[in-house]
Amino acid sequence: MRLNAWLQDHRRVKKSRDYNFAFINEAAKREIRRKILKAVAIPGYQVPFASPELPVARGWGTGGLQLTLSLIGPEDILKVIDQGCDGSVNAVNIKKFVGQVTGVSTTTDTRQATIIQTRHRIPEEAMTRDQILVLQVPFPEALRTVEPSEAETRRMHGEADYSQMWLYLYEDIVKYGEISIGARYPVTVNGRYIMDPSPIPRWDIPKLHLAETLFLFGAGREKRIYAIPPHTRVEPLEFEDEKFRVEDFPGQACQRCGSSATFLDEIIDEASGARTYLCSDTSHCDKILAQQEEKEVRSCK
Amino acid sequence: MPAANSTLATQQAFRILLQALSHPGEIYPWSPSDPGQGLPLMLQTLLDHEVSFAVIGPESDATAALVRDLTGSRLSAVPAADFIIVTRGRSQGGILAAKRGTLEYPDQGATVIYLVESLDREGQAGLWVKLQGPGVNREMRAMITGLAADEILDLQKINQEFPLGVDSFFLDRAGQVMGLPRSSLLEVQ
Ligand SMILES: [Zn+2]
Repeated sequence: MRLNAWLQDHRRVKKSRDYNFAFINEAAKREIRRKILKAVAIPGYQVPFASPELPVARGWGTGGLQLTLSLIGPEDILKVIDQGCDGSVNAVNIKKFVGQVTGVSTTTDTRQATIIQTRHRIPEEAMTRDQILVLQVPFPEALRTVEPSEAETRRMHGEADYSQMWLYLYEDIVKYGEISIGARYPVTVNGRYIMDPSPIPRWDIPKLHLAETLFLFGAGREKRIYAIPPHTRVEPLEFEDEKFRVEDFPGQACQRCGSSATFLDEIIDEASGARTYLCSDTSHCDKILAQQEEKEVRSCK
Repeated sequence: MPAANSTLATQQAFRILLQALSHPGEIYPWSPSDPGQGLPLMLQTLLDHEVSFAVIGPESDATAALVRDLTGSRLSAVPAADFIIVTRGRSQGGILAAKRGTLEYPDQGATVIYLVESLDREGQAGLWVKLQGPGVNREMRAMITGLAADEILDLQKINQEFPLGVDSFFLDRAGQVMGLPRSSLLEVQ
């Protein structure tokens, strides 16, 4: 697109709205953008940033939202998901807000989106090099479990002194017979930094490894930005004889679309105690179902 | 030069820089309709009064004045500068003094903007650079014309103690841009 066309768009957007494009002021965006570039240049390292105020409470995806608003332009197509679901109240509200302050169009189709903001899941469908996945992060520090002091975890990252983390995993195995971490499974990025991948299930960890897509992580409350560029090694922490493994759902399939190759949510019927399973990624579930020539759109669990 | 002042022009410019740094060695069209606007747009996208800059090379005074006028950024000595502009692709060792950050805060390492003649996928006139590392699928090769071979050797030195180092952008006369994060492994061919 030509700059002139951009400008005309800008004027049109400005005329119809009396706030900044993408809400955040230009100086704050510039700071976030500088920090995003540093995050990409140092994969897995948490870059501090001055998290600007947004009209949503911290802890409700502000970090992800600040990234999205600093990235987004009128040509973008936005998808927002919460725990895999496009229709959750949180996802819908974020999508509405970004739509209001930018005028961008939105989608539920993973393939159509140029920017996907997400909480707790990575879409099932493989993403491309032209897309960006923005992850909301509640607790950015993977080492916090073993070390309460910020100065000390910063030193540990600086010196790649991760012995305490390995000791923790070892003790976990001694106690439980296996590594008991479910979501937020720690990974090593580019052979250097231990990183918190946000509370995605272990199922999603392999999708970060040598991916086509850029992953950006934003923690609003703790004011941290970090990144995994495309084609970057991302390895879950594991021992030679105690390998990382993803969740499995032996003999189970999505009750709706029949898929046994997706991450499933377990639904327990309160009255009967019966367990059923549904895809966590609702738009992917819709797609599989549509392929089976059905058209109803699924609501959240 | 109204386009360079636009909120949307800098947004678009940032996305190109982000792509470029996420895919080191790839050459991205930047402002083909007006290549002369490449540097001003880049400056307005990244610099302001919160950061400092230095200029190395010919016409450094004129360039420094441009940066100050466009962005309000503070001129500083090379060892303190957040951004360093190398005007003719040759710093004659000047870049070795750039900030590399600390182990606790490696993000404080400088960003270097090299103005070069051209960036190409083929040809003979320039310097072939081979890259590997994050963002690169196996390896990438790019030809840079108007960059001294010593600069690549100096960048190798500066970036050999990852995570310390500097991150670079190369901007050519046709308005194309290429990113080179400190995480890239470099070879001159
Ligand atoms: Zn399903």
